[in-house]
Amino acid sequence: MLTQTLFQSVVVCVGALGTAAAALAYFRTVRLERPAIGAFNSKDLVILAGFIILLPILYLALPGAVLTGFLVLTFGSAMAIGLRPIMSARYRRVLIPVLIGAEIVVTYTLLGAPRGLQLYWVLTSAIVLVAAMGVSNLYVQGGLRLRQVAWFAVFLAVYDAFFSTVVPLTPQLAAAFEGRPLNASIGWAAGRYSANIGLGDLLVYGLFVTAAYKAFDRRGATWAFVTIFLFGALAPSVAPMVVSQFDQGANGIVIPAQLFFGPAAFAVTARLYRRYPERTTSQWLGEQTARLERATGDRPVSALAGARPGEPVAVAG
Amino acid sequence: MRKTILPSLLLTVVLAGCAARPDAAADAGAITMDHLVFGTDAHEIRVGDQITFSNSSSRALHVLVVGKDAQPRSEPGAPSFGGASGHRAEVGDRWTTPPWDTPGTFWVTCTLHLSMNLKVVVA
Repeated sequence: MLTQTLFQSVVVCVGALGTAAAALAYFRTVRLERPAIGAFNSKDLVILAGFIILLPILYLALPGAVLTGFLVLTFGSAMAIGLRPIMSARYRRVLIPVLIGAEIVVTYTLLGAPRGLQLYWVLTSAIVLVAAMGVSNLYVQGGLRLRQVAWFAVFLAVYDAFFSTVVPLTPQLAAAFEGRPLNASIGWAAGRYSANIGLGDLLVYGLFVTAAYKAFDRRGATWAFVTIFLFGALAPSVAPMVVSQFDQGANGIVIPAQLFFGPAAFAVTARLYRRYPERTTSQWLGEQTARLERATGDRPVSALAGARPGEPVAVAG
Repeated sequence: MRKTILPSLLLTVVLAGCAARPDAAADAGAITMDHLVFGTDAHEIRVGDQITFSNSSSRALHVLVVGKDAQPRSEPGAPSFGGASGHRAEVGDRWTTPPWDTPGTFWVTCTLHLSMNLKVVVA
């Protein structure tokens, strides 16, 4: 139990902090095209919440081939969003199908081989990381505010608590994900141990850290990283040692992570808003534009307001 | 329209959670596999016998291989479980191994579930 907990803590911390760091690095250096639907707001979060709720249910309701097709479309689109500003279409059209195709082939042909499960996790984690990084940036660069992300985390805490303890559906669903193509989580297996954390959790961490940075600069990002580490990764990994109901047995998935993270994220957000002035999306865009103009010798950088597709926009730190 | 979405969603959740287990009678004579365990810890057979595995879990996929503690390993004399892919036992799957022609003690495990270990004694 202790070794599994340690293993789980390390894997989940690496997955959660790695996703948050990737999302923040992307946010600081890459500008996504803003979709022509206006700024992202609470209604968009409701849609995202619906997706997070529906995805596991789809796993149960849809026939295997239909489900795989649905997931291929979902992850392919999410990866395209994230890779579009940093990779030309020629490479994207090769990389995305190859990565997803390789994951599916490995899932069906190598899970019985000695290193098959590790290869499966490398490919699955890479796909989920790019998807979480791209989608969280789409929302936050599109105008989503930290306050809204905090409420979203609270909603997920209630959802997690209900479906993990009152109706233990989430653990059953997590068990059903194992060994399937495009398992929506980041994880690892080594020897007798395995651990993973779901895309819904990772997406929230990506949203939280980027929205905190946008609103409160490095101070916000620092608070976000500490919160993710303590309450999004460490606490849910260690909790099964204290609360037997959270013990998923031989399944390494961390549930319910949002039960710990949601309230903490809300409290940290409230503190940040109480003590510091919020930087709005337009203010942040202005600062980034000015910073880039300084870095490029005062040349106008109108591209920042709507970066050309396929052209990375590097912003000096 | 909006009023019907939430009840429909909840109904789906409830129905999904109430999915019936495969008929237990269909598992007669087979080693059953629940979510995280085999139906028995050890199974004794005679040389040339086969073993039938039945996935009676309501949710879990199992990847059966020769090995222990979720680790596939080569055990000389054990029959093939499908090579690198192992045998993917979907929910409701019923699969019979090739004959076990070599006397000895072997282990069967699921690469996805550490707790699934079956000792096979071929006498």
